[in-house]
Amino acid sequence: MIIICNDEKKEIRPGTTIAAFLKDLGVTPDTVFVECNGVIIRRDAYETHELSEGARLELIRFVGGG
Amino acid sequence: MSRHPGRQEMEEVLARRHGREVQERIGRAVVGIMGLGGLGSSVAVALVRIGIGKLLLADYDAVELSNLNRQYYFADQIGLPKTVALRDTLLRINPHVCLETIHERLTEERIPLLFKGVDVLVECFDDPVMKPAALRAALTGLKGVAYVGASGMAGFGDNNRIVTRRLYPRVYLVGDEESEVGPNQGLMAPRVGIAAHHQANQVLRLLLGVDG
Repeated sequence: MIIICNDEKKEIRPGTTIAAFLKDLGVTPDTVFVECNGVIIRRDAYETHELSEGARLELIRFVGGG
Repeated sequence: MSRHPGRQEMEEVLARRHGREVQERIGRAVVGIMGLGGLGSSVAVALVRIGIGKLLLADYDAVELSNLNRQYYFADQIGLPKTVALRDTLLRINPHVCLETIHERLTEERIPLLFKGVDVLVECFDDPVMKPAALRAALTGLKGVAYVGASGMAGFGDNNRIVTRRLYPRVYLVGDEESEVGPNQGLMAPRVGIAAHHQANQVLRLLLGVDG
């Protein structure tokens, strides 16, 4: 199934959670801000929130240093 | 020893240089700074120099020798809490500025409680986990507060890859969003300073209503 992540189409398996999707991208979930279909997702929901067909994800990945 | 200039005298000099209307807005503004490392200490200095009304300064850490390559501290301040060291420095720049210090390790839950009522909140954390946490806290718990975060300023990469990106209305992110601290890429004063001053100027633009 297809979702849109930062304006790019991505193919995922049904039932993929936000956490699993982020790990597949090779990023640490704790360092990513996630908005799904216009809603800001709490960090403690990444492991349970399953992405639905056509979901629009906006990710901001943060790197350390300041 | 020379006398300190009085409050009115300092305000008058700033108003003449910056414009009276601009200065009134800056002088009324309250800004929160989360993290007083290379970004936060320089953002604070820049804002105090232009006559900011009040700063809320938050950090849990103490000044270390290894901070001096980029952070606005001095060798004789090693061992002091950053909140204390920075307050001393800022009061040397303007003895009349209003400063509130918060000496604690911030969490996503505490941020909305501590920074309620600020005009702009500046995220200057080092920790990449606290950066998205702070953005969530601000967007969900501090409605109406403008926000300037940062990500990606390590090393000595191209100056002009550091940008200020608008994420939401009155919410901005500064940095190249890539240059991570690592064993071969340390944080250094020049590039961290570029990012810090992007942040400070973005705060100013938000306070003056240029960017919403």
